[in-house]
Amino acid sequence: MVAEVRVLSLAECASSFPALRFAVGAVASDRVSGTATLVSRAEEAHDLAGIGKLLLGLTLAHLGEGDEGFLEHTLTVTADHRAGARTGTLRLMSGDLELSVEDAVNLVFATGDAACVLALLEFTKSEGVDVFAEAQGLVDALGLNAFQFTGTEEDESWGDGLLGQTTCAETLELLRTLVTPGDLETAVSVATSAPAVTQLSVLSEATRQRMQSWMGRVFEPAGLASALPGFGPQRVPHQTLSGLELTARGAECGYSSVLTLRTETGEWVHVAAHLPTSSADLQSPRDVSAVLGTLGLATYHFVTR
Amino acid sequence: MEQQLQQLESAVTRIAADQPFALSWEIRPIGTGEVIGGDSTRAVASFSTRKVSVLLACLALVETGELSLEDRSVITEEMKDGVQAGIMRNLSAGISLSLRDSLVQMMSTSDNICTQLVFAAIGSVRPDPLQWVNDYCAWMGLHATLHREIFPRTGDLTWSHSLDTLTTTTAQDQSCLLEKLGRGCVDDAAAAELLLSRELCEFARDTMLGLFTPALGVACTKIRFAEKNGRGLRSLAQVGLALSGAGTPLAAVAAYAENIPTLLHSGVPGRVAAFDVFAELGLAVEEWSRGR
Repeated sequence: MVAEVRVLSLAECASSFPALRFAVGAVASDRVSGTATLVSRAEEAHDLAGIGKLLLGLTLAHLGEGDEGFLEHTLTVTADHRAGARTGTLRLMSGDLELSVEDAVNLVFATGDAACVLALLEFTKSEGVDVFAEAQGLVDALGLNAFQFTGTEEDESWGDGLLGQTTCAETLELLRTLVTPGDLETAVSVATSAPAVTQLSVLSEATRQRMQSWMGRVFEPAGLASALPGFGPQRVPHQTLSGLELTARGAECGYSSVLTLRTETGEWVHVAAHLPTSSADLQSPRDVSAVLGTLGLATYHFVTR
Repeated sequence: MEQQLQQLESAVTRIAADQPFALSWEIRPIGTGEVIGGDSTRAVASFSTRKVSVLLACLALVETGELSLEDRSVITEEMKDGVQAGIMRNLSAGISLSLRDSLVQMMSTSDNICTQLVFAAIGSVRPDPLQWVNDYCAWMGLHATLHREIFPRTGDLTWSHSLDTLTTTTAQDQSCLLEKLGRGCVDDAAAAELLLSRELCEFARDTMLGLFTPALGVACTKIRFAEKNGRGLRSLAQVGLALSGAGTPLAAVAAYAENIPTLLHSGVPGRVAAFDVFAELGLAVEEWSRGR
């Protein structure tokens, strides 16, 4: 038997999946954050486990702010990159492939393409950029101190680029920094607190829009977004990341997932979750998606109630 | 029929009966001539499961030497129009792909820009590429399969769409083709029946092992599936070739879930239940394979 997605409330998710860590919050925090039932073990540190790519993309997008044309640079995905790739579809291909930096990040978000990750890391190194230091500096500037990077993927990649730890609470805060000013106008009309001005000043609107665009194009997501309502190409609008559900890496370090949904009032609601491998009877990727999909569906019902 | 196959038939029949949608299915053990199934001649929209036959029809032209897997094509902006499936639509135009890589992406992410590149390659050596694929299907005995488009514009369809303009097939046709492919991977004469070499059959199998979102084999631990999905609006399909751990072809499997409700009564999206069925079906085949 495979595990099935269930219809639960957010509170029931916490009790039904006791090992699951998650945090749910709106762009402006008053509506949901601080309500105990919407946070479960959210301050516990966990491996990035699938969301390293979020920081990799953000770092590259941020670098693009100070270097016009950076994201338009062409890089080549080679046989060496494919050989070290453990996720994504470019590793299945045969010839060298030329892509822009922006397109490569797009594939990292959309399919967790590890060949692109390795090509991006090589490219940045050749440009004299220390991605590890840049990423740590960026999260420090954003005040996201729970993000602690330990290195970058080198010879082998599972599509994350950056290695390290964080908490669901901090990942939620990161998602909140990705709002655009337009989103924020909506947010402050329904709540009194919002991302700190210092956070918003670190990232340009172009970077935040680029991140939203990348997260809005994920190919057949398997985590929190896997059980959102919809059929065929008609799915509930959402933003997410390609995760580790279908990988052996997930069985080692767990499964992190993020999701952003829009409420009927135009407000964005974010979810950050991490499912440890020791948490339950995780026999297959379907079992992982059943847990994360249940939480994603619960969030959808929460924002549309 | 062997007892284990009867048990598999009973198990899948039970799985199908428990669903709030119609499931037409067929399973053929490789090389035995045996067949089990349910409602397997029902005409269904193939959606991307059709790409198995597109792949093989294209490879038949590689076998004749008219096409080469190293032939290259460039993705243009116009090719993105109406495309819902795959990853290339979100990338910049101008990317150059070999025919080999176009076939790989067509099967892995069901990329419909790559599908256009494949049809363009066929069209470079045949006057009507769609007719070539239809002729190939007819030669292979897929008498209920009709390819009607290069790729379906699913974004224009409603849940209750007609089948009139879509490519249609049956579970029977698809399992028949995959059974031939299974034999073609281990036997030169069987490969020749598909107008292919054994190596090209193996290439076809390998492209199907790279499916980005496996469903039949997603929960299996002892066997693997070389598989292809089909994603419609009210229908989801999964076809595949079950392989032993050592890679020996075991069985061809085709399953088409039709009239899937957008939501189950429980509030869970209907498509999620269909994916659960495909995973259960894969596990049932795995259980059968252990008893052989």
